[in-house]
Amino acid sequence: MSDATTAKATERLDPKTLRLVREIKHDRGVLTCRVTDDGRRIFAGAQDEFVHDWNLGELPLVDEALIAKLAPKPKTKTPPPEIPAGPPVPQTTLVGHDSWVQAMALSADRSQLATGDYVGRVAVWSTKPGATKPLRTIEAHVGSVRSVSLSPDGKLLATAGNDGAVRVWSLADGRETIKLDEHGCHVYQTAFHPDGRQLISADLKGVVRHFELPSGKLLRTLDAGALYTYSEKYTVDVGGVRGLAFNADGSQLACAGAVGEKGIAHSGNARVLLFDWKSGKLLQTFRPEKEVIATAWGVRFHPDGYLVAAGGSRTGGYLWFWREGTETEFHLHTLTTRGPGFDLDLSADGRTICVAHFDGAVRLYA
Amino acid sequence: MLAGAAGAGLVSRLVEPSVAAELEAKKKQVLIVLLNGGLSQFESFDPKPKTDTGGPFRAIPTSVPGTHFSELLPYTAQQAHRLAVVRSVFAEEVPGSHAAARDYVETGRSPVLGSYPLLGPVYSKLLAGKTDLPGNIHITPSRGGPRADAAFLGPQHASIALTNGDAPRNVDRPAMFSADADEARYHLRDLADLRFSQRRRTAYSEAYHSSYDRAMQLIRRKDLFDVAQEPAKDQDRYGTHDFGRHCLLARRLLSEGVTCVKITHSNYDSHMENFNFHLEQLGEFDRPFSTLLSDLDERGMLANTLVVLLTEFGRTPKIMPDLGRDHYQKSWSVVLGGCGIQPGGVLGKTNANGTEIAERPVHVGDMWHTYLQAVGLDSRGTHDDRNKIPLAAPERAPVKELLS
Repeated sequence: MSDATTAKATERLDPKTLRLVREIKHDRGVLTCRVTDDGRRIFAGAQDEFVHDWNLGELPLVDEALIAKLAPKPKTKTPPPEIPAGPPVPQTTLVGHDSWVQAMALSADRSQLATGDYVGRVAVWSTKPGATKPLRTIEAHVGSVRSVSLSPDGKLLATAGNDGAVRVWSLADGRETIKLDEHGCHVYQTAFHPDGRQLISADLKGVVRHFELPSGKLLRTLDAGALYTYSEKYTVDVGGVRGLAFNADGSQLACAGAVGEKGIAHSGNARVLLFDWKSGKLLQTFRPEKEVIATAWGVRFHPDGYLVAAGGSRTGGYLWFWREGTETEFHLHTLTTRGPGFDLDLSADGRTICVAHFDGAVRLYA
Repeated sequence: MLAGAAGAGLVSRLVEPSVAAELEAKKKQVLIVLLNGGLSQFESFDPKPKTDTGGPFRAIPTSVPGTHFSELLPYTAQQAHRLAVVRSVFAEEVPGSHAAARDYVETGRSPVLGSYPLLGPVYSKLLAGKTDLPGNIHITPSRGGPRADAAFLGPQHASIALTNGDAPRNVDRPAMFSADADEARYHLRDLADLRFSQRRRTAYSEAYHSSYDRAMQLIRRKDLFDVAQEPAKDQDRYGTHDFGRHCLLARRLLSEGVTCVKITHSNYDSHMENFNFHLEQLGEFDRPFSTLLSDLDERGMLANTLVVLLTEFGRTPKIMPDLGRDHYQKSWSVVLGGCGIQPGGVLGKTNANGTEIAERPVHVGDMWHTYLQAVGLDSRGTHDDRNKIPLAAPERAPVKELLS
């Protein structure tokens, strides 16, 4: 590892100098990912029945072989020497699902991981290295589990699915404590407010429901309906709230997705809606400076105050960086593959972005 | 049973064999269900769970031991003993995407060959005979509407489209006319038409004449379209969403004697989020279709009603970057049941991950022959016009394994 790259990896993330630093290949498309505080351990769900746990261990965050491979090649007639690949990232396969894993959450203390699959099963895992069997499985929904989230105190698990239900479970005994059926359509996202006393769920039609905990009483709804379109031509619903995040103090909420319809019932252009949590007022609608067909599938607040979203479509994948007050991004990072990033996570130190790539890779950007 | 058989034999002896066969055929009805946009074979009748192409859904057992459908079809799976699944249907790619591909499966001929009548108009002409009912009704989604689907058979055999299952417009007789007065007007016009057509009969005059007949049929039988007259418990069984209502309407129309009823369910064109699409669409389709099939059987109608469940093409084994599947004409599934069909079987096979047909390829043109043969029509015959146009593509043949 050169001094320059060492220095780079330990600096605060600067979106404008963002680069791909490590690529972890998988044989199926990756749908979701979570990364530990230091960005060195990655959990992912893919188009298979497993949860994948990659642990960099002693390996450096920055893969020098990958950096060398990506570097521009001088134009010479002599082919450049083959760059040997670095050692593979050790992987553990966690067995307990019966279908693709598309929902994932890490507990605040990073001791537990919750996952959800396409056939209604939720699993809770210990993150102790080497643990490969679930602590608990719950047949939580009829059809796909679209979201799992863990309360800040690590006691509650919220799940949502295509059956239109939102459920809250006790992590201690797996008991269902709340069942909320008000959505009436697919529910795509859930999130606990950082204070742990409030839960939100967001659906296909852009309705964000705000519940009080532990009562489960509906307090209000927020309107993210801009992210939903009914396709008259194809008589189907398009869009929905694909990504959801609170900022650290819970004063703002971001909802990611797309507006409109392009082509054949295809979501239109990426958008992230920023709400003031207290008033429920829409503060900002973020959009790409150059409109392309894309959905923003995931969004996070960076500790430095800006938002980062991952998304794209079959024409390209992107990381957008937005800051409140400016409608368009202050930086766009185009992903190296033609295909969306389906999910992203930030290491707690804010130095690393982990992206679940359609093409069968988890990639780390720093 | 014996008496029936003796009676049939007597008819056969009294008339020409071809006419006897035609008489037999006239008792038949047809239900066509078109899953518009391109149903994924992987998420329906040819699941490949836990393969690189199979998607996230599991396969479930059906009422036929050893046969599995996708878990998105739990109710239809319980009807498998009434169905025959063909997992190896294919067609050549044709320009024009969906519309052309639909024409291919519904005419049995490549659309580049010109305009041929769809199944409904053919059944209307060959099976309906003289009746006071429309021969061919198409229940369309909310955006659907009438289309010229009869080609050279003429508009008198074109589908009557019930957009979103609603009754045709303007079937209410104006309050100023009594029924008797209206009938008298109709007959007076009919006499005038007859006088004209006796001397100048052309396809145009026939079409003109038939348009009045069809309008009068609809006015006289507007009750046909009122699905609200079906028992409330049946409306619950079929469901209150559009496709449930459309299936109940189809049962009503078939029970009243309409020869061919087609229902289009939209939309399966899942280039993006194929799995979500199919979860939603098949969730709507599964129970009403299964209920309709079961009801037809319990009413004793299935033996004389051919059921054809088709789609314009399959979807790619490859899962695309937006979790979609694109169009695939190398292999897909078609399902038949009822009249003339050997039920409970699966014909054809695709390879382990569904990329190729492994056994018994069946061309859409072969299927088209089979649709006719199943209701007792000779698919090798010709239309009775001057040009003697073959009913089905002459280079294709019925799929004998499917026929009972």
